[in-house]
Amino acid sequence: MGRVKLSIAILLLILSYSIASTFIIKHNTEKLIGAIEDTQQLVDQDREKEAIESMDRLYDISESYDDVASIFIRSDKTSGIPTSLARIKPLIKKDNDEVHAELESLKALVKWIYKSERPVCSNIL
Amino acid sequence: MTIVFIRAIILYIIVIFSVRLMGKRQIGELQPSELVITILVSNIATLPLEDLNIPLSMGIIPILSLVCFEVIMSWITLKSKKIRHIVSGSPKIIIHDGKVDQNVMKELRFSVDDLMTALRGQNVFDISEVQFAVVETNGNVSVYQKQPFRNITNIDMNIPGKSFDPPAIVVSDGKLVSQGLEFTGLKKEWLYQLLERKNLTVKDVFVLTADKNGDYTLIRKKDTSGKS
Repeated sequence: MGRVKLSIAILLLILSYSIASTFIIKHNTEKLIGAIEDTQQLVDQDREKEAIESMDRLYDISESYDDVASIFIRSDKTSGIPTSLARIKPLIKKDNDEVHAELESLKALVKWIYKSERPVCSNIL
Repeated sequence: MTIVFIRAIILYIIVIFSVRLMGKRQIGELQPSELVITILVSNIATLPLEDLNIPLSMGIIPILSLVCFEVIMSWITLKSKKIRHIVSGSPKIIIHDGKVDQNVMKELRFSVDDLMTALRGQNVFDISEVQFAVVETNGNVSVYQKQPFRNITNIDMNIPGKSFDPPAIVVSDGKLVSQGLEFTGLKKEWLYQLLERKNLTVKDVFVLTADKNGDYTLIRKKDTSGKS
């Protein structure tokens, strides 16, 4: 009976960990997307200096996102984020139109990572 | 490389814990579901070691989940005969009174060679000697021979006898095994008196077994010069 009780306790622990991980990923994804959208707005308003400052914040947020995500998500899924971020700052400085597309693709990538980790039927099956 | 090493240590601990949680059973005694879980666990454990992109938790969580489910399932099967029948199946009588049930053999996809191998494993070389042979849920074949072919026992010969516990290890490789001494019911004084008579200390003894009557077997340690 001791083994059964221990097994139930471990399963409950795993269940709590899984639920917590879903919320942690969701929270970090929302934070990262929020930062991307802030940068997008500043770029749209041609506020270059503030956009670059916002990019620095975005780097910090993405780093903390990466730290958390590496615990729960395969690292090859998130490897595209730093690559994309590295391209955006020079594009802002050059006032290149591609910055919009790059920010949009970064946002899509972050959303896809979150979607692929949600415990829904399409992901489970 | 350090990451792989650390991961290997963590997974080793997890796998050992999982195997202990599943309980003591030998490979041959595993139920089909237990065997599958054991293979799955060993397979999953390798994934985070082979691919560092995979978080360690993706190895640990499925291992622990599968083992915990298995423990809970085995408890449920212990309590419910119906579920036990569904999960583990039921033993099948394959030979009765020296006659092989061919329908059961077909159902179990058991060939004549399989049957003969199993019988030979039980020291039976002739099917007609078998009163009952049962294929257990773990695939083992249990054989009950007809009366004339069974080994003679004390009861058959009307020889009275008492049952005794086997001897226990009291000293192992120069160290006192307290549990063994407790099992025999002998006291430490008995051990030290015995060793004194032999001019030995506990450290000089390789193995000492004793039973409740105080009968013992003592093997001395060989010293480095080769003297025993």
